[in-house]
Amino acid sequence: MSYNYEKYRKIRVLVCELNEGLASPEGMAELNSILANDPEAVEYYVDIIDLQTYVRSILSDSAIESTVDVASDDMVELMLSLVENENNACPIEFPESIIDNDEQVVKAKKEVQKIRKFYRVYSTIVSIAAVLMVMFIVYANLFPPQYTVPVATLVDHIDAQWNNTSDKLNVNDRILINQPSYILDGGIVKISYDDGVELIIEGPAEFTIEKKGISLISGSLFSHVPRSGIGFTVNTANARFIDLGTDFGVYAGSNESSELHVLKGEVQYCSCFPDAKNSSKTIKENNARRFIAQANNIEVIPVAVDYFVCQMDSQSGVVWRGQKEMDLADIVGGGNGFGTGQLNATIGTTDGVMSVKRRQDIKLSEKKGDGKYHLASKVRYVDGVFVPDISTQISSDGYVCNDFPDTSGLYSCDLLFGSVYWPARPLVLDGIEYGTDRNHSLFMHANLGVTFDLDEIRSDLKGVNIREFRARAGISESANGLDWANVDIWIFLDGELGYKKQEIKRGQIEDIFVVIPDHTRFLTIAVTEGGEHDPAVLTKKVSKVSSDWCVFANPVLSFE
Amino acid sequence: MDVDKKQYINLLTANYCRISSYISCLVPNHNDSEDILQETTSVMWEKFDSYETGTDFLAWALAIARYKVLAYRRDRARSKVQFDDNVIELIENASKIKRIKDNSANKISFLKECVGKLSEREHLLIKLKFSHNYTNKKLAGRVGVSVNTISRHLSKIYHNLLSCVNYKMGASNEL
Repeated sequence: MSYNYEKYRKIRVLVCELNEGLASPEGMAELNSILANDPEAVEYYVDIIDLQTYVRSILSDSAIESTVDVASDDMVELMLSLVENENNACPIEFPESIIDNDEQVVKAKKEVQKIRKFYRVYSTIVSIAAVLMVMFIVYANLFPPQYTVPVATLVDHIDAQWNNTSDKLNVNDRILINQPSYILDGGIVKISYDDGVELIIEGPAEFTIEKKGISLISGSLFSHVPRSGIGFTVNTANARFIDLGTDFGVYAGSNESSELHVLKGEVQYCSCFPDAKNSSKTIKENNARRFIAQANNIEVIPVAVDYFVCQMDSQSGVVWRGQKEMDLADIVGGGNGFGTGQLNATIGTTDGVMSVKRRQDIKLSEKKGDGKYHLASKVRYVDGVFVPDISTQISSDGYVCNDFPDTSGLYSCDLLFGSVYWPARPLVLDGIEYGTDRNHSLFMHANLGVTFDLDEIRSDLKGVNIREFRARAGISESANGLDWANVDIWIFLDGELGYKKQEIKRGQIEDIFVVIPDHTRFLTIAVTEGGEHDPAVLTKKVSKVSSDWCVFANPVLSFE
Repeated sequence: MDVDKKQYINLLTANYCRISSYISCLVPNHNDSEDILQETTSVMWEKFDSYETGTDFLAWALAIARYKVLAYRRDRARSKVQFDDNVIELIENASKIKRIKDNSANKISFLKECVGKLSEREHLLIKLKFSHNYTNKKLAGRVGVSVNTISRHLSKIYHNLLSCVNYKMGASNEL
């Protein structure tokens, strides 16, 4: 008999009594107590009642054909005999013969003494066994056996640092329940439960894994619970969060405060405060609560939309905290779009290779493009780069764009996340300096084009909906030869023109918004030399691309 | 039959077990839960005009059922054989989780298979209990055993059926 079996048996017996209206106040109090303190018991109770309902339904359904006619007395008799079997234990039979012979009496007395002696020994053994059995039952109930079974797997990590090397979990290690707590000093781990629940835990954190949940002693975690895992529970020192099919984050502070942030779906919480009002509630997406033990209080707080790591992948280096915008300048800098790129990084126009440079090495120098599309295969999310001209390939699928004008084919600088080395001339738009750590931008001196692979982003950030490309663009106010600085800006979605603005001159700032339909794979941004009307250009004193310092300030993809 | 009534009956038939289960979870006394179910379906029909076609019928029905259950609890506020308020909330949530997770069509089909596996005696017992509405006391009287013996047998049958259905549902989820 296991502890759980006994508990569940008790629930079933009490349900039978309640069904019939025969439950006593003591029995009801006992059931209230069991259910109030054990979510699994509640689940079992609901299962039993639900089962009764459906059994009742299908037994009244003519589709179920009974092989017996229960209305007939014969069948009732049959049942009677079957149930009575349990009561039909054979009674012990004693001999009824009377022994009247003396010799037989003595003999019989000796036999009786032998039997009595046997029964004394036998009863002593039985008594000891009974005492031991009682002790065992008491022990088993007070200290239920701790069994360990694997329920989850560590599926990925980025720089995980475990406090104790013996606790160290590697990729594909199975994780058992009823183990001492794991202490993650740093890094991020991803744990997948066998029922499909996925957790991402960010160090420093301490936790123990449970059969259908986790105890978060400290740290933060993000939980994605599919339909199969509904009911997954996160316990902290002062609250319990029960998932109702959702994405949510939990933070457990060292001072016994904890926070619940529901990003999608619903979560039920139960605070463990002794006298807290509203101690059990369901909260919906885009809501958050803070549970403060010392103050015995639950606070409504703003939901932290970009605090918890909700997706990670060690191979691509993706660490996504649910940000709603991805920085394309950061991507050109070799980053993941969320701030890991390096400033002063360029992607070579003639080889597609990214390199990080010293700022003093980033200079302008006019060159002729080779007319080819160059894959940027080692820069995540960047498909390739090109110099736009009258007929130019603009994506790796071979699409050739015929929308561009017949340009000079010249370019002065590779695609740049940062600013060129021209100390007195930083990149400035509307009075703000760009190409800095603080204000990101893409520097695209005409003629230059770049294509981003949105499918690669969707592949890494599962479930993300890319809605829009957005940037503020114009010619840097610091560009030399302002009279002839003049560019055209082009945005293509899978080769289809999504935005075009020609003859942009200094002081003219364009706020670009391009809605990106679902399933669009390639986003192409290109800058070409504008129509040149200035005498200096017409007389060839300066080249057609001279001073065409086009800056895309804060270029981002926004997510739904 | 007018269109409204036909639609109502179709929706009610499709959701009857779920509504009944919800009420029984909160009011496990069978006679009382049957009364509440009848009152609920009666109000549902009266208010069917307010139901917007295409919206969640079950949620609409359960809201009415909940109101009826609360009224029942209020009338018996002094009874000591009632669930505590916090337990009611826990049961409602567990019941909600179960509704989200369960695929009713599969469950009924699995349950039929599991009922088919019961012994003749067990099958007869639940048939008397659920199809002929015998109370445990009446069953005990007819059979000549104690009420406890009947309860013990039924309890074991519930447990075995539940294990069987859960096993089958778990196996189907893995496919």
